[in-house]
Amino acid sequence: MAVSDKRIEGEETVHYVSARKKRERGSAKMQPPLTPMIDVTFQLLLFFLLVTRFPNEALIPGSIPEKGVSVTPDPTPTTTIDVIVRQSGEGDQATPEYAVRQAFEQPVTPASIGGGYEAQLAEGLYLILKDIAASSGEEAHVVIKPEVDRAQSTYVKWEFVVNAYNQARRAKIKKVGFAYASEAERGTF
Amino acid sequence: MPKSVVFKRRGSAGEVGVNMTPMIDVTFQLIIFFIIASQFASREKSDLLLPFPHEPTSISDDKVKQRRVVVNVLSAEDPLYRPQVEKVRPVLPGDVAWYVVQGERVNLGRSTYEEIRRRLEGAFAQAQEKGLTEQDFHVEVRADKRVAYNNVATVLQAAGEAQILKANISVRRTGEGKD
Repeated sequence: MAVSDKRIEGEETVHYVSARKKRERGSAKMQPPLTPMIDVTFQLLLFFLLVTRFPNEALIPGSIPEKGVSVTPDPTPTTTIDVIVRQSGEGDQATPEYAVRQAFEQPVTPASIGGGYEAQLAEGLYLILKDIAASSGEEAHVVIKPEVDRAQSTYVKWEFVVNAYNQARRAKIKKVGFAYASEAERGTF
Repeated sequence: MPKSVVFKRRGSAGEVGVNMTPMIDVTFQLIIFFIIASQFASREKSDLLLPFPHEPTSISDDKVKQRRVVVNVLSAEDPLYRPQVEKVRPVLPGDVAWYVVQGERVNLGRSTYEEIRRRLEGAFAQAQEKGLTEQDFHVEVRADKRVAYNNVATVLQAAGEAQILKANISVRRTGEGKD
């Protein structure tokens, strides 16, 4: 005899429920299938672990003169500053030297730095340029000039040039450019 | 006459409501697609040592919203490329292995400058077809820190002749996100 599972309180009587009615009421609740779900979750997790890259690159903005020729100094002579980048040593032992000169071979108004306007560390270069920016204001036009001597095969590593450019930007100088190698010196090939 | 009654059979207790097999297949397809797509995207950045200036004034890669063409300048002194270069010529300090423009290699030779300029012009022309101007487009100069400056000046000059006004220099940055 099929017995109802509903028990009404206080009642002694057991109500009869047919087997068919029991089936129609619906079977016991079932869980969603977990095993495939776990598999898919692991797949997704693995995918994102492999694909996620934390960016370790950044950009220093710059601009190029329109004609792509050597940066010509400003017509007003007093406001063009050359930052000459030299390198002593080669490879891992290379060390940079930065010299700040005004165009037309007149020394820059000496900054209030002990060494004047030569620096071996980037921080020193920054201090010089900061003083220049403070005194010249918006008009200072800095040209980064790596010293390249084809005859003696001296060269300057890109990282020193970037460092000089970076210090000029850090000193908030608005116009900074690169002096290009001339046609004959272009590239080592 | 008794009415004919249609008996509806409910599903038995063990049957799954939603069929999981096609779902898993689609998931695998998506995963494979994204893996391959991300590999295409990273192909234009070659493996090299970027310069890391003192107190960098760099800005984050994703803040620059312009379209770009990436030029990589690879150092011949890098152990990844040195063996290949040494087969052809001796490696001097500051030497370039080769250039990679938009994921495609440009070997060193007589026409390297023209080739770089041609590719930059092509990339810029493609951008212009989409309505971009010089203000919306830049060259991303990714040069190994060990290469001699005049090799990178080549790229800057070629970019200038291709009428591309903006050049951004790629530098390494620390994980703290100082900039």
